[in-house]
Amino acid sequence: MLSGFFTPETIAVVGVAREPGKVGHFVFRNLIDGGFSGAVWPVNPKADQILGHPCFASVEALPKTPDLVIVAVPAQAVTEVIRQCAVVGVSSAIVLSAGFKETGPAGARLERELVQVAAAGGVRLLGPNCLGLVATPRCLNAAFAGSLPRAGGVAFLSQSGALGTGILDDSASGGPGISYFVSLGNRADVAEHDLLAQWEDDPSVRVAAGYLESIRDGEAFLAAARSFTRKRPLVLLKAGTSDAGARAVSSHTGSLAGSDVAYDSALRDCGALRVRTTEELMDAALAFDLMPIPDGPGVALLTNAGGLGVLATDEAERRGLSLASLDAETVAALRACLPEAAAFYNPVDVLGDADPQRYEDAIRALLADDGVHSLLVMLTPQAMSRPVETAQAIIAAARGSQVPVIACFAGGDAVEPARAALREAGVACYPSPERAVFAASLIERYRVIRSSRPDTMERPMADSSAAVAKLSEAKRLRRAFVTDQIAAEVAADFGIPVPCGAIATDFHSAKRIADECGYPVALKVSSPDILHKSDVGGVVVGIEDPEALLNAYDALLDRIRRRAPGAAVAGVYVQKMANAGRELIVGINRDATFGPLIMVGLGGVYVEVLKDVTFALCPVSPKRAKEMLASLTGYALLRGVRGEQAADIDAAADIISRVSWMAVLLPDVVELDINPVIVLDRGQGAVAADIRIGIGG
Amino acid sequence: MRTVECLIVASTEPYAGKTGVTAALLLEAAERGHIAGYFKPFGTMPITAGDHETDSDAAYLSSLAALKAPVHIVCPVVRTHELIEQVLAGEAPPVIDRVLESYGIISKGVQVVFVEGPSDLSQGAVFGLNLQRLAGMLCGRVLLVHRPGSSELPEELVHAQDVLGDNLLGVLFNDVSQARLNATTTRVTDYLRSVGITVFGTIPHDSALSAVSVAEIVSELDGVALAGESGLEEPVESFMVGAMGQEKALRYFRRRARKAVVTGGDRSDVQLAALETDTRCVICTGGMAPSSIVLSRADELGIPMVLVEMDTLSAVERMEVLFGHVRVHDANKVARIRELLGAHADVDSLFAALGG
Repeated sequence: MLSGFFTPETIAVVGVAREPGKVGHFVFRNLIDGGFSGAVWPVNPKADQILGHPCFASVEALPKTPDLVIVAVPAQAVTEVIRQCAVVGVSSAIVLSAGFKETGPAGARLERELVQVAAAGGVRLLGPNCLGLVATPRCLNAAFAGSLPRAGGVAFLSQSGALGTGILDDSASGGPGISYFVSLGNRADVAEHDLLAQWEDDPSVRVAAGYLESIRDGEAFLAAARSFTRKRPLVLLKAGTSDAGARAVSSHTGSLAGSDVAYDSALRDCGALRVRTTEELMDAALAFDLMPIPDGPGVALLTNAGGLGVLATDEAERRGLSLASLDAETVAALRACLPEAAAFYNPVDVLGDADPQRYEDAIRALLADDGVHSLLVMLTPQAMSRPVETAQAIIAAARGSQVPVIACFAGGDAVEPARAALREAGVACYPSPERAVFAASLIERYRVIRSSRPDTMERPMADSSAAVAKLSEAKRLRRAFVTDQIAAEVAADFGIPVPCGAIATDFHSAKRIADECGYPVALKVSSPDILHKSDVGGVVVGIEDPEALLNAYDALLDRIRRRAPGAAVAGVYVQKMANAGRELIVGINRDATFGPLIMVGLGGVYVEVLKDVTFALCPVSPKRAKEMLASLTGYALLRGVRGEQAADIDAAADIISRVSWMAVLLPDVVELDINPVIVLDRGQGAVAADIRIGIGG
Repeated sequence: MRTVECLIVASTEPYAGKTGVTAALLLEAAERGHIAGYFKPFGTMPITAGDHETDSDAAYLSSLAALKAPVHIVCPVVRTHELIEQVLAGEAPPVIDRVLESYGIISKGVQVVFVEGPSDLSQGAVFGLNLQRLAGMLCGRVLLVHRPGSSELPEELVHAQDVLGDNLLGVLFNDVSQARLNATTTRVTDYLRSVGITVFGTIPHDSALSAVSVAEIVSELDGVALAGESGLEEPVESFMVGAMGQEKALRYFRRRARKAVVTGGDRSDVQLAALETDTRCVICTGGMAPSSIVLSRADELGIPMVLVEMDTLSAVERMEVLFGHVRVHDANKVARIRELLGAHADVDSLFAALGG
């Protein structure tokens, strides 16, 4: 546990300079100015007293073992300080000092030594090369930043310390209230998953929010985040999503930015909410800090301007929010309190001349409706509007309600005092309907996440050793891709239906295989030097009889000699052709952070032109595989259109699930594509017609 | 074994593996108790050893087998630039006597001499030292080391049989890719035997033999290793070029193990993707040093980051030459060739055919 960082009673700062302007001095002053109630001890062998506090020569010379040590000495001296911490039994240390792996190999070696000494001595490290941390419940400002932010329920972690200072300043200027702020620095020890584990049962945390460029340990993060999001929302801004951004991440933190779809899939999988901009991050943090989680999906909109209502409705629809259908009683109550020209259905328009009382009456009517689970109240400052009093009316009507009430006061100076009043009273207020709806949609998404049950995963096979052995042999032979035959055998080992086939080294064996498997057959050249067989004419389909087979066999090899001279041809794969059906593409790729990722899409032009594909972390259950299929734009084609029979979606989902287990249980597989999986009509199954397995030999 | 047997190890094209096979046979002969000598009548890789020009392969084999004869006797004629100029000016010095005299010294007191012969049927012809004449001159029999190329028919070998006649002892297939292995050991071998050509074996391609060390790459590219120096002796089997985004680079780099990656010094995204996969060194081109934090990661992994001044295209051209002309000047590689010969060739028959 990391309680030493967040609830210390005693703190030592090592490396406090006598003169202001140095990091150690600055942090020591912040500790005092922040109002930390415990003991603070400056450590500086050359000073007697700093800022009125007696100085100590070393950690070992302190009156007792501090709960937290903050280190601000030069990098070369840090390891020795941590060694002393270990000797006296310090459990937690923040290393602000820079000069570690961010500076090159010598610094990296220093960092490794630091980590070893800390781990051996039982000292947990935050940093190095970080800005420190803030814990408002303890009035603890142990950061090399500004003054303490406004207290609140947002626990914030940041891989960029400097971005964090902006967030702290925003909080102090009316942004979301902060419970904790942690600058992760080089993440030599404490990383994002440690913080989530620490915060998940902390009552002062209502939401965790973070800025990350990478995740240090994908598996540990997923486990911690899954557990965290069952109790509290987690909102993350992941940077480095473009190629150029990934380059910037690489030179900033020395970590792989990771694939954007992998992050999307992983964050969805663990129940985290992903945002794309700092504005969205702050808007989300504000909403979760102030608003309860609703009991249901129904959203009601209330406005004094038709335009705002329409914009909010459009945005709600775009973000998948469900507009509540108001009860007859609610409509009657609204009719009773609103002018005849008002709109009594959702969105409810109280008209431009609405006074505070009209707002309050309408809000009370809507909150009394069981189908209204969250309410968005909007205002533009019109001639007869009284924004501040209206804000007070909203606060009064919302008080005590379990339905989240989000405000949108669009405008500038005319509404700013009203916004301040709402924030002061704990009502999230946004300046545009789009941002308010976005906040409402995140709250709704978290409601769904929290109420969903974790998927059950059943391994489809007990023993994968046969498949492992086949791939190991291919790897021993230094093949980058296994042959069609091995690929089909490995898939069959996992219970995936594959067409009958084998490699022929001459025409006679080709004919024998075709006779055994049955016509029609397809021929595919088998050569480690030819990755894209079709491009060199290495595939012939629809061969109906032995005579056509002979012609096709000779013609195929002649084409290869002409188009791929020098390619070593091991033979020709002869394969029974599957019946016509709808085609899917299923692929596996490995993400550096989160491991194997499965891609599913509709085959042919749908994947090539429309990029109609979806991704998920492996493994996926057949149920999840069906959800993936259903999320495809072209899903209707599988369900059957214009009187066509539905495809065998169960069989397709079964194959997808099994392929995902191949990725999990066969670590030698670095990439895998099945294109196509042919899905027959309902009840008739599906078959993996062409499988390519890369093992990176 | 009769008085002095002479086995000329030659090939039908350069870089078929003659030097490696000769070295392995030399050590094998010693282990079998034969007194063996080594001779290379005509060298093509000039180096200076003491006061003499000699051949780098010959110098290496001399040291490997701890031969007593001076290197300029082991390899009496070397194709230096000076020699080429002399030939083209019509002033070619006579070399046959020198070759015969040296061979006389080498063959004195030994039972068998392994002669590293020409790399194809025509090499040395200008001096009267082409394979056919050499075999006649030294009364040697020829083992052809042959690496099957794109041709599916063994035409070079049948042609060699025509030229060499009874002097052709047989053929050893070398560096045969997995995809060609089956056809070579069955249909091609059967065919050659049917036309009277002995096949002593088929050595499959072995990546370790075609590898070059990171240090060799650093030297070839005039580079500097900035981090991960502990990995300088690691063998590199191939190289890839990275100019795409990080995600695609990662997928691409996973396709090959034990590789070098060539990329711009400013491409920290590509460099990190390379470090994430099975990479033996990263070559940072354009004289642009990689970022400190990437160097840290490389150092942690023990993967050298090699800074070179040349651009990516030039580096790739140099790497292609390096990988296409791998030398076997490495005792581990020679040991590996012996292992492969033992497993895939009929070495007993070869020695029996020599008379011992």
